Amino acid sequence: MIRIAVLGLGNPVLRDDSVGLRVAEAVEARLADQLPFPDVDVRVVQDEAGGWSVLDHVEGCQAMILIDASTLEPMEPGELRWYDGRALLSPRVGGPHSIDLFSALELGRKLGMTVPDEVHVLGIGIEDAWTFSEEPGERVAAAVEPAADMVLARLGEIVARVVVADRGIVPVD
Amino acid sequence: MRTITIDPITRLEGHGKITIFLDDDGEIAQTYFSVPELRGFEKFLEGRPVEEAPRIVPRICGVCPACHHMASGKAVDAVYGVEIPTAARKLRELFFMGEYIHSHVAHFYALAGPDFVMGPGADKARRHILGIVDKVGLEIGAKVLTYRKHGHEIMRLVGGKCTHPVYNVPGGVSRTFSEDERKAVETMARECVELGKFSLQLFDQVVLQNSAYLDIITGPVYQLRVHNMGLVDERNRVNFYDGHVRVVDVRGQEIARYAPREYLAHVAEHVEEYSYLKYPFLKPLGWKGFVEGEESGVYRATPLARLNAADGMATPLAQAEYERMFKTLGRPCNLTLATHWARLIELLYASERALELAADPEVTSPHVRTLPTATPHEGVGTVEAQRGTLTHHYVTDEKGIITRANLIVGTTNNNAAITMSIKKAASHLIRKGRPITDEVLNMIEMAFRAYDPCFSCATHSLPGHYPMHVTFLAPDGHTVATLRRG
Repeated sequence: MIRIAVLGLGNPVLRDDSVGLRVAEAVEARLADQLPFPDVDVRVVQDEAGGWSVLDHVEGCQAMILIDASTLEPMEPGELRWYDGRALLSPRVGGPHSIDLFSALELGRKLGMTVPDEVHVLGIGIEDAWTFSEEPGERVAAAVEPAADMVLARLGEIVARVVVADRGIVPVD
Repeated sequence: MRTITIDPITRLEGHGKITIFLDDDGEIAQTYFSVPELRGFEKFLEGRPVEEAPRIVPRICGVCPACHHMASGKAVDAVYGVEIPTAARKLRELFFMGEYIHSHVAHFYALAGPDFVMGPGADKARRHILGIVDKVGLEIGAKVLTYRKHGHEIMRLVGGKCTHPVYNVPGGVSRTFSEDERKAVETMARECVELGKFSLQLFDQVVLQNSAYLDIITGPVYQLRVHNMGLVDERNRVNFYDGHVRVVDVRGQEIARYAPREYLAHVAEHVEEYSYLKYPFLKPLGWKGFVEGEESGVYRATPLARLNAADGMATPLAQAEYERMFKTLGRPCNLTLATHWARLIELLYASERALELAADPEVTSPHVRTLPTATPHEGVGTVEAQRGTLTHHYVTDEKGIITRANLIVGTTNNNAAITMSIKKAASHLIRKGRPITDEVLNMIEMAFRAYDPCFSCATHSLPGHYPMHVTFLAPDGHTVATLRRG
């Protein structure tokens, strides 16, 4: 069985910061409406905390998709951008109460856990993640469904690739 | 004058910025620690039914949700004037100990530990938990993960949920505790006591037996003589969940002991234009600026301050460690880095207390709620968050709709002390002609990292970590050098 984690991060009452949670919710709803991927367990999780908690969610998974509001670089509110998790992850510590994603995955790996080798990150441009509100801004809210489309498409690509690799099938170009 | 800006701060949840102004002689002129605080949570609460508050406030912070849940739950009880059943009180405290365990474990091993196990001047690429694992062994990584999980699991088994608790309801808790759950929690708590002992042994071996580190801890760079605040029980022992707020001054004398509902008579807030975050101070002493000493109104509310403010711990092993620490360092202890030692004593206390509560047959009582019947009006709830005394204060109309809310969160108490600690460390470490190295920057960070500060919690926008940018500005304002970390 191949396991893939889809993890939406955010704070549900901090305006645009909630967008990762909303996309994960939309992805879960879409998955419930479609035929399941054969021999693949897709685990969709929403959480507020990164670091250690991520390890709890992705343990046992071969791949993961992380969805989060992004301030990595200047982006328009609602703009969607994929990042290769391996390029983002650096050996450093995140918050004082936690550790960063890289360290969490690396720690898990050192301890013999199965943790994702593939880390896909969908960053979503935001405008305001500093004001308490249950509703994200208009442009960010409008990005939720397109973001879910992108996650579903990426999920399909991962499934195809990982399942092919798992079964020792050599793809024909 | 040139300026050094550290923005944002590495390993600090939320976004903070340190600006250090140097004069023409290269000496420290002033330091500012400014925080763009999250806006409007109190307003966000207004107009909502007060019984919803304990479910909403954990969203303020994904790091210490149980602290807000507890302070809020107690404030709501007070709003309704209801006394909760003893079993509910014990269960809430047990739930709360779970958060203390996982939070203190994470802080020590992920944040404080690397500075000592790897050394403050170690290559920053190795100054983190993976470095500790490489140096001390894989076993320690497994311990950290196991016991961090135990903390979470204790919360889940007691309260049903961990991160977004729905446990506190007006007059008690929302679920009973089964015998199977009790046994499981008791087993985990017993193991956590062993972790607490192990962590103190590790601190002893790695830090206290290293004369260079002991010199750093006891030296002038990290000393700050300010007052100490913490919740205490009826015998003036540390209590995280309930009791009176006690303030002990820089000489170790009690200068205040009050019920949480009286906090407005004892604490006021100073405002500086460069920071959203206010500076609480002791009202009877008044705000006299960022100054130390008996006459200053500045206080700390940290693990070290809590131990200074108390006469002891309520559990035997923690009490022995409390005595050992103060015998070694003197009491009150004004050594900021001793906060790490105090935090580990608190970890041991939280574990022992969890074990006591889990072993108490009353926690499986079916009577866990007293239905409130009085007309709601006003209430204050205070607990000790890991990062300081946390107070929630709500006023409602007669239907229980919140009309006014006031929150003093843990770290806010320490805002003035953090600012002063940074200035003191920088004053000792930055001198004209001396290069400002990564080690110097890290040692300045150590001054506030000891407080385990947490300001703008629960924002998780990427990149999810906080590189440090240090910009050196010449007196005319142009950039002469830039250091970039991360």
